[in-house]
Amino acid sequence: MEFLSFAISPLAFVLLLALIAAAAGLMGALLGLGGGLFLVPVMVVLFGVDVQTAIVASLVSVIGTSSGSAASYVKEGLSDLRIAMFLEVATVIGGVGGAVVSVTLLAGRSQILALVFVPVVVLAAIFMYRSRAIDVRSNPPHDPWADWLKLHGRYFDEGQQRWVDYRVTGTQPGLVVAAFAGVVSGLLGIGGGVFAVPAMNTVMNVPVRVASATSNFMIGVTATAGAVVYLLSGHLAIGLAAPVAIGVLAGSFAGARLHRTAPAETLKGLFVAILGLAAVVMLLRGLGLLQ
Amino acid sequence: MTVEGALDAIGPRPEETNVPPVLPQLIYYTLRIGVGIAAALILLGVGLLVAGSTASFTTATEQGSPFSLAGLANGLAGGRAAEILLLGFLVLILTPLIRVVFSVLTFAVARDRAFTVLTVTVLALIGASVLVGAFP
Repeated sequence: MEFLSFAISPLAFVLLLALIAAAAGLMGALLGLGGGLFLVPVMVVLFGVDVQTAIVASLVSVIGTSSGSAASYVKEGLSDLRIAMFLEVATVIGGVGGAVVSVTLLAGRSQILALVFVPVVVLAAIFMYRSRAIDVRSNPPHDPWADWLKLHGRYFDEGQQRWVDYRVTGTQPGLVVAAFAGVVSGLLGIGGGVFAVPAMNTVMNVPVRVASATSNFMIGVTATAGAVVYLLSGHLAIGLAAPVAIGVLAGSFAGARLHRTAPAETLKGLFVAILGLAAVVMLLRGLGLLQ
Repeated sequence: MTVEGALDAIGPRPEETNVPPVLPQLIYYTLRIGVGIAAALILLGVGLLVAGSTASFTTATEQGSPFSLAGLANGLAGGRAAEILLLGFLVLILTPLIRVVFSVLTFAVARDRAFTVLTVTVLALIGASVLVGAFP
């Protein structure tokens, strides 16, 4: 076990890793993300973990945070279960595909995985920086799939203190983005919410609060699809994944409590900077310039 | 203000969600209980692992060997930290699957054919990934 190349004891390793994972979980929850985007580079750079091993540990912990936080969203009726279960078909296909590619074609090629991480983190940072919640349109383009599957819904907006109806559109492009989010999840060990939430909001006309709660709920099944492949084929490092899972779970639990009060907008710049740093270290790692 | 408006102003009405009202409750308890059990097992396992030898801890922080049910059963019978951890992760992974199973049943009972098919498809895809993972 090491931390910044210093040899440390198992206890110190577990405590440090859990603490840093808790910070990642807290940040993730404040932004409505899983935290995986921060976790993988942290494990690789600070703890000298192999890229794929870090990805699998992150993916498994994502299941915990999604299931933990989604439970209350589901109870409150904020997660749209029909939209979630419709899009899950695509995210699960992507999740399994991403994991299979990782354990077969990319087996032992951690540098390539590190390089794949870079554009995804950059894209995520751009999305986060530019993201603005778009109000639902009352008359979006008619979508026969959304009508047939009864995907339209309503939710209680706490800010406006009233019910807001939304009519879903763009189901087919929505499925494409969902499949992409799934691939990214299975391949890189993140939730994929950073892509799914803006897609649901801007393409499918889902209010951003509902999109965020729905994405959170979907991520559990998406990550499971990839995690099953990794776990059964022996790619899960349990001693690494355990402190990460515990830490992220605790952090996201605390973050979900703070969510209503924390000034997420003012923290956004900090998160974008951290993501930029993550992109740089993963690029150096992928090019073999950083061990 | 109409009666309807007054009711709306009170707060969310979960019974008006577009799924059978029992489903959100089933999912809520599945997720809460599943994550609770998994977290307890993982905490216990990591505690035992840290208390054990440094060599076995190092092995546990690296990728291991393919999953075997017999190996899991043997390790659990011997109270080994690694297998307790593995069981915790299995419970964690099974938690979202169980909520999909409940969704299939609920939609089937409600005769919602489209969503029964969609949720069965998700289960089948994850079933396929079990095969891929077990026999790569």
